[in-house]
Amino acid sequence: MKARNKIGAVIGVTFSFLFVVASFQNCAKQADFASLEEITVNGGGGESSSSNNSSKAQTDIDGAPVDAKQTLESMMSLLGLSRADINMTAVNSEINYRRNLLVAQNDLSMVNSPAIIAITSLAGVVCQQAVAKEKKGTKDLFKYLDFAKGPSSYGKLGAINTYISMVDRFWMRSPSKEELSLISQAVDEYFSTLDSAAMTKAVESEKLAIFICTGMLSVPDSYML
Amino acid sequence: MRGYKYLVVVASALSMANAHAADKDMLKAKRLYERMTGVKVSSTKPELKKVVDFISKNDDRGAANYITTTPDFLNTQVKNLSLRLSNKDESVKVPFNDFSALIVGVVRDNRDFREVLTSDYSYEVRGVAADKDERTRYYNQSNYTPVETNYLDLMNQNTLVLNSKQKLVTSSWDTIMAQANFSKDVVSLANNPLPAGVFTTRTFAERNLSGGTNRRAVEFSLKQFLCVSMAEAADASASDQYVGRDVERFPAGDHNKYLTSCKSCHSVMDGMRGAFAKMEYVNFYHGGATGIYSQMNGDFYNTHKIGEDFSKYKTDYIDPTTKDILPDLVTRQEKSTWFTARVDYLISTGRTADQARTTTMGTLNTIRDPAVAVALAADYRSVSANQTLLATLKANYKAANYIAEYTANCLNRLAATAGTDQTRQDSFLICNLDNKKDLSLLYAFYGARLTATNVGNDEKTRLLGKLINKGRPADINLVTPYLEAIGQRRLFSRNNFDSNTGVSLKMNKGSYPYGFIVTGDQFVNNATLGSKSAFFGWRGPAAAGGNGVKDFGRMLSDSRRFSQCMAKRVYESVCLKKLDSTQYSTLVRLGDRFEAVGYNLKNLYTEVALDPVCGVVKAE
Repeated sequence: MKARNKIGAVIGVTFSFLFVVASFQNCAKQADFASLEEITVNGGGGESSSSNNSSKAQTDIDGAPVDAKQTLESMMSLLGLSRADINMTAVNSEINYRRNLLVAQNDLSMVNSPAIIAITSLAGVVCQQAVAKEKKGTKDLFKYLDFAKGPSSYGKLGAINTYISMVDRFWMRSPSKEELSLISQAVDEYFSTLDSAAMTKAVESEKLAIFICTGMLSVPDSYML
Repeated sequence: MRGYKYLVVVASALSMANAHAADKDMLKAKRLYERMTGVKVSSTKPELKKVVDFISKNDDRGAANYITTTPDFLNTQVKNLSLRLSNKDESVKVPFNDFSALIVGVVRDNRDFREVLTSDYSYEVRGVAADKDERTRYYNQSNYTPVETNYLDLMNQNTLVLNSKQKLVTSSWDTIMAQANFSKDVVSLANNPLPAGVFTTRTFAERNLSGGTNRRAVEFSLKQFLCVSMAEAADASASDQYVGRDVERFPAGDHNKYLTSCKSCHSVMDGMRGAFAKMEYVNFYHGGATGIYSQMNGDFYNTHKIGEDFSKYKTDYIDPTTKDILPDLVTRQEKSTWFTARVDYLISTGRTADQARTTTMGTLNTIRDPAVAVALAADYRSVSANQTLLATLKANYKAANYIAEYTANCLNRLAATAGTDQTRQDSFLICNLDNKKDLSLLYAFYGARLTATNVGNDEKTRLLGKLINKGRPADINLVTPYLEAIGQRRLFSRNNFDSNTGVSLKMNKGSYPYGFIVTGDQFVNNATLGSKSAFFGWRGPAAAGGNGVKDFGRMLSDSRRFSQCMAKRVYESVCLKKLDSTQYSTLVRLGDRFEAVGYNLKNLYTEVALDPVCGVVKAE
């Protein structure tokens, strides 16, 4: 469990958000779980920095990734989506496009760069459904964001609170200081790409929600059983 | 005052302890839920809260049992297990199908899991497009695929519905019309005389009974339901009495190779394959080949006189069409019955008159108009240079070089048959056209004339192609569109069975004279010698063999290996680790637990999840 938490703690935010940013820019670094072990060993931080057994083999990780068919079900379950909440055509189109890249079995060694890209891409589409659902009905997951206004109306705090709320729901714990620091940097970086006019546009709130949600769903803690 | 402060401190300490316990319960519930369902869960999920309630009362078993009643458990965990079992690669990346539906249904309805291999019943999906159309179950699997694409809940008794009897197709109408718009049953069905759970589903037949010699079915069954590879089941000491005629006894001229290698697997495999002797994945045809396949049983084929029905259909519809309608099509072309029937039919399916005519002309463009050919021959004869050539050919009709170019048959028509010069020349020219096609005299003559009259290239190609019947379909492929147009196209199973025994003809392929000839669906279990007996743990009335696939299913499902295999599969999907060979005692224990809970797969999931070796629920 420790090894898994280490991955979550160290790469949870950095990897997910940077990965999402990078993949949105179509220049995602190739990384698989073997290299994640490297990140854990060398990256330090969180539990790993205070632990000397960080070089444990990946087989020490307790659990396994969801398989291809569990991936979508898991994402929908985490976001509380049912068949009535989603645009089936859009989701089916994405899952059909990504199916063969998703992890074929509950096997850690099958988590590779294409699988992570597929998970992230699928997460993006599923998160769109969650945003669409909450725009139409009661706000829950994204209650700290205002879809009628731009990010300037709730600022960085809204984004960070959304992140904290998701960490609580999905992972059932509180974010570490390090994670908070990383999300804070990520949001700063995200906002830095928006000019003042964009910060007032409602559509940017949707994008921000999808950004945070996608990052949350595409980290190991959200797809490791 | 000090006492009050003390109370506050104690109260806060207790409250923190309670909060800590609640967190622990939540995390434990989350882990148990996620492992048992295969789905990540959020803290707000109502089902998770119930699991937490059980756990907070130290009722882990209650929690696990509750999880097996949730939609996530059935729709993800059990569905994934069923998909893995349905294909040899054990991949979940296959569409939901009738094989999987039966497994999910057995689990959902708390049936004895052994019935997966022996049941008379099947499951189908309701509430999806064309769910009343049996073609979506017997000719393809489109009844089942929407389970995933429409995110259906299999817990719903009105979605996944039990059929008390498995059936097979006797015949069907071959129509593009939906069942809802068709006045009769598109597919006629009758009870399968020998149903046996997933073994008699279309998916099993498609993957294991198509082509081949039905040995694949044995290998698949042992692998999926006993977790035993053919190499593990092989036994060099078993008798090869039942090895079929198609197995090479002298591979590369070496009999020892057969004895030391081939025989080991074939003794076991061929002994068991008799169970599938009368089963086939067969093409349903209407005289011409189609891409339509379904499962079939030899006894069913013979009992329901499907062969006789097809013969009658051929006599009543195919033969008269071939005899009368096709010649009429050739001679009357656009005025023929065939042409008008097709045009009318296409219009009835929603095409415009122009579209219907253009489509039908596509076929007509491949069929020569004899009047055009006769007129061309007359024109050809009227040219004096051509008459000179014909006279030369007539004079030299026995010369080898002329025979090579014009064929003896055609030259004989010109020079050595009765009739006038004109009729003999016409006969020769048409014969030459039929034989030499685009190298014929009339073709060249017609081509030159079309060029001279400035006919466009496309039209020229069309007319020349029509003259030589270029691309003309075989007669049967002209018959079936006509029968479709008049609403008389039907589908019957091909006759791949012995009319006396009902055994599939492919079972006795090969010519080795001392090879076993399959005459029925008896099978023997040759994996019973020495350590094999304990390895498989054969039990029950069919342990040594039996008759037909239902007995085969009983043989497998009564074995200890079956319960251990299912325990292994559940262990690996819940505990997410391999049950390796050093954990044999765990395998045996979990297999025994499966039997102790009445082969209820839900209970097996509970037993496995709570087992200390699994590690999902850790000791406090």
